[in-house]
Amino acid sequence: MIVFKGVTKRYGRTYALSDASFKVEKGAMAGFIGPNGSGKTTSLKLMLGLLRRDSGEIEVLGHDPWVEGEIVRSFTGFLPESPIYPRNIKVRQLLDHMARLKAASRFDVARIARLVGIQDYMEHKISALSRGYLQRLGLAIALLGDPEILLLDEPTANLDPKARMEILRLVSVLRRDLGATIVISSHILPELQQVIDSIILISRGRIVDYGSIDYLASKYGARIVYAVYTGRPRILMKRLVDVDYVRGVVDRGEYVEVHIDPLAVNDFLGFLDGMGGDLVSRIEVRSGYLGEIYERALAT
Amino acid sequence: MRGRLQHRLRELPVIAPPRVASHVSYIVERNSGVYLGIALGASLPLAIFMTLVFPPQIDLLILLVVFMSFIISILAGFMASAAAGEIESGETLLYLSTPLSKAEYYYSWIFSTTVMFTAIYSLGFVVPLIVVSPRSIATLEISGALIAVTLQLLYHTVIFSSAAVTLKSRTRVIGFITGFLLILPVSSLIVLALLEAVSDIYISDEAFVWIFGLYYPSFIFFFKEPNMTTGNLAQEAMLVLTVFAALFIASRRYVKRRMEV
Repeated sequence: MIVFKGVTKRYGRTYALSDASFKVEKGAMAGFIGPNGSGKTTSLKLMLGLLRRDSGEIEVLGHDPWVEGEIVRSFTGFLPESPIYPRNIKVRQLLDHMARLKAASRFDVARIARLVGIQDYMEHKISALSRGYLQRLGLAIALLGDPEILLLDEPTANLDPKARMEILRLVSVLRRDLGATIVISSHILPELQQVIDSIILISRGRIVDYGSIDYLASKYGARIVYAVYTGRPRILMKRLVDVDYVRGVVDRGEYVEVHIDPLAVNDFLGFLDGMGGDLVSRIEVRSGYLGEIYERALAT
Repeated sequence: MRGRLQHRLRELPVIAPPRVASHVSYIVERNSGVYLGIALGASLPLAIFMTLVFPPQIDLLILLVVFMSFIISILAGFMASAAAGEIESGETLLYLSTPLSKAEYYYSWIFSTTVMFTAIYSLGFVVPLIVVSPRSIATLEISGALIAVTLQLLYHTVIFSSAAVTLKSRTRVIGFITGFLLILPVSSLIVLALLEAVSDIYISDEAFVWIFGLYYPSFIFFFKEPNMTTGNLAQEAMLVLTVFAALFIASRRYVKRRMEV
């Protein structure tokens, strides 16, 4: 579990974080949501013990990161925003070295390289990698040593849409396979809402609210709208109108727009899964419910 | 009492030798190619030169020792500026996001610079000297000069690496090294000479040697009267160790309490 209690961090006279308090439960996939410069990166660095807080308390699995940073970082993987790599060495050299620092084996390096899909680039110079593969390399470094906590700072920044989706899919797989607690900082909400189950909302260094998506969506009355693509819209609509958590259904021609109760996202997705691929060809989230939660939370 | 002791112990920087050794070998592996090339490039003309003036005179060899040490100190400065560049660019974050502690990172740079430049000094100068004129090594002047210059090299390495970690900017570190190796020693001597000329204050030759020795400790061995004695070597070693101890205490506090990435 990660706990912040009244944490303040200043850079000179500027408050990067002001009296911040929140919790991330063990096993959660939490989205750290806020605009650029709101204090997300500072919070992640405080969790790792790379920055010193000016006041307040921080606990990461029961350890104070500033005092016991080495212990915290031994069970935490970190992907920085725009990581800087040594350009003149091979991918394998860097991964082997990072594995030694994290007390991981060469077998782990090979396993994680396969997991993130860079096994074919191990003998390439880092300078030859594309942005997408650099991000995969960062993920591989973060995953070495099978961390209990993963901190990902803007993992999809500067990537094209295809690479962004691949990285997010990978993160979901990692959570399922490793069972790690994951904190993802991002300001690209439509993507984030597909993978996270809890949120920390931050603005200008202040924590606006935090909790599970269900709880916050319900608290702020956010709507969730899906576009369900089908070749037989009438049949689909007929089945959906009888479901109690479906608030509304509209035929948009190419797809059916479905408004649902924010607390029933998983039930709804399970329901569509049960219909099979012949009725439902594709699903897209249409409403930016995270954005809606964020805006409403800020307004209160 | 026990609680305070435990708190003090927790305040000590964490040093795990295997992690330091691993990071030292990584730094050396990444940087050694260029510097070893320079060393080997320098050793060949040096060996030829020493062969031409064979048997080499002690004074000439000492001059070469001092010249080589100056060149190597400048190279060590470049290496330290590479450390500052790494911090400045943000690459350091990559390593410090692992269990590698800030203290381990700092000591890794010091050790790797020391290991590399001791190797370069040995390959570039000591080995050619042993090959060309093995007897000269047996003299107090030459063996003493080699020890004096090695101490000076360690002194510069530690000071420059500490400056790199503290200043965190390649430009500032190059400025510091230029000031330390050139501007400060020369300007200190000019100020002292002027002071002596315009006032009644007498500044002894020994005082000049000690002041210059703060920047180039081997001057204590070479120029403090009587020249090139084991006593001078011991005094130089004392100066170097005192500065090391002061830097160790200051760096310990800095990396544990103030160094942020």
